[in-house]
Amino acid sequence: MTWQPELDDIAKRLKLAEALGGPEKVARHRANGKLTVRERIDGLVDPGSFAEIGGLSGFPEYDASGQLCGFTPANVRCGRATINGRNVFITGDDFTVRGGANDGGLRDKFKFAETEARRWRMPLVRLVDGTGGGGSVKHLETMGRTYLPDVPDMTKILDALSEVPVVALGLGSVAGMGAARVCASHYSMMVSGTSQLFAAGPPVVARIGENVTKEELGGASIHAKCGTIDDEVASEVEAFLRARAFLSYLPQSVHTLAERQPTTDPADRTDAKLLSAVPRDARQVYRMRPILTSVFDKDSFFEMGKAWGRSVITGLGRLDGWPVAILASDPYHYGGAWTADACRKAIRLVDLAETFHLPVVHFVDIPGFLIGTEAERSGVMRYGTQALTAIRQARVPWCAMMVRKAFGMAGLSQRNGTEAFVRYAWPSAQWGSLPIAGGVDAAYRAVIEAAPDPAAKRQEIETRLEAFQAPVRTAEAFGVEGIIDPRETRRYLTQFANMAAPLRTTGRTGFGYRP
Amino acid sequence: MPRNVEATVGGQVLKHLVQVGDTITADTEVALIDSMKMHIPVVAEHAGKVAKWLVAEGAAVKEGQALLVLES
Repeated sequence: MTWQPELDDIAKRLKLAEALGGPEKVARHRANGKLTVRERIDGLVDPGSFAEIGGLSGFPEYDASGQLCGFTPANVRCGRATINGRNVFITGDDFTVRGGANDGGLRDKFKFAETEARRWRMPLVRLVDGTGGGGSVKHLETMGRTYLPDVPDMTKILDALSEVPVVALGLGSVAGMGAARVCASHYSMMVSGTSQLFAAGPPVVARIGENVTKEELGGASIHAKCGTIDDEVASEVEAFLRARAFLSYLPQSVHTLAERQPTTDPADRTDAKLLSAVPRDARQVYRMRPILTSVFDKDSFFEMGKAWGRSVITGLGRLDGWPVAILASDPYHYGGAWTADACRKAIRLVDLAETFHLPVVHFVDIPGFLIGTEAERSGVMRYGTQALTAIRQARVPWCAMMVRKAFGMAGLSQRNGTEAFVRYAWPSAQWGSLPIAGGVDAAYRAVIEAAPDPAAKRQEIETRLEAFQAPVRTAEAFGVEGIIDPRETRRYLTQFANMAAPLRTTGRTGFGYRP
Repeated sequence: MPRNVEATVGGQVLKHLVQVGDTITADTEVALIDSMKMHIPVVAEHAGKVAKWLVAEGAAVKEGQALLVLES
């Protein structure tokens, strides 16, 4: 006598669980342009690597004789898998069961799914497609009471951000706790058209007099432009590919170091185009992204947060195979001036780098913090000071590449406080506590006003001062370590990455990660 | 659906870089704005055909102000 009858029973139950919320619900879900939770997991992880945990959990129905006659799986599906051959933990909401809401799950399973990655020091990927934590106010009638807001194991869930990489994909309409689960991550995405996110949905918002659709209230482009999430993507499949790419730059946890990948790109490769990348005319802007794609390992530049805080470019990349974090200016937006949003975006990147011990490369062209009444009202100095603090708190090795401008307090963002710091300037660089054009009027007002031809006098002073602005004058006083041929930038950067690699140390940062 | 291309920064419109009737791709520079002593291009986020300019060269614009209308 074997245990085959029990195995047959388990196989039957697992087959029922494969039906998710039933054919009708699944068909409606697909008709809305969305993949099922099982298809999502299969699309995300290495083929055949998913080992589900708790596949038997859910809501069974038994007939009078005690025979199983129906089964609805819990709408939290989770398990271990590999991505690029490395262990990850996956948790995914099943929208076809109770709309992904909490009351279609099991409390203990939710707690397990959210905290297991942290226990085993491996990345967590969350596929969020649930309406929220509270379920429905109808519960009041069944419970006969209410309760103070809490999420099971919330402290552990948030603390995981200081331990393991967390990627969250918003894959449906998510509100309340679902929305917070998307934001509580190091990298988050939403899909154009099929995913929305809000504190509360349109019916609730209508009560404050706003009649809007889900898309108008919290569509992917709204959140990608204000930084609620990192990126908007065109499809779920694109989200899976980007999640895999993101994780390839990171270590398994803060307790290990990011691995070097083999590369065929020569460490000393030069690029002739870089000699003219920055226009001589100071009024002309230039494109920073082609510079980045040129100097990092071929095809390794991975941008994050492209649609918000746009005067700053943030991303990950590789140098001679070593993963690094990249901060750069985009002069197409406010000439590269740091807005309040740009500061918040820079903080997010630098905190990620410090948490996971990634050296930082900063391509600097910063005329200052954004000025003017709008900028002041956005709190730019508060966020700017926060950004400077985040940068100084980062102890990872740092490389500053001074491409063009570095002025004022915002110019301090070029470097952190580590001793493992290198800095190079391109010949196009210029810097100072304030730009000459703005400073001359203030400093020489009396002289200019007393002159017979004030305009000519101002011009004369500006010309005289500009001669001092050449970076070579700073280099003479060892105020900058070196001025390099821009064509050879990659050689200096790969040297930095190789010097930095053995200096990286594991462990938690001095501060907890705040998403 | 017609879409507007908006100024990404406040300043003076120096130059229209596309004309009514032009078909443009996403990422096309449509205008130069003189702002913060620099000539900052406004880049279209969507493809389309330029239907109408809403501001003349030389005009002062605010950030977020519609510059032109694109037809898809």
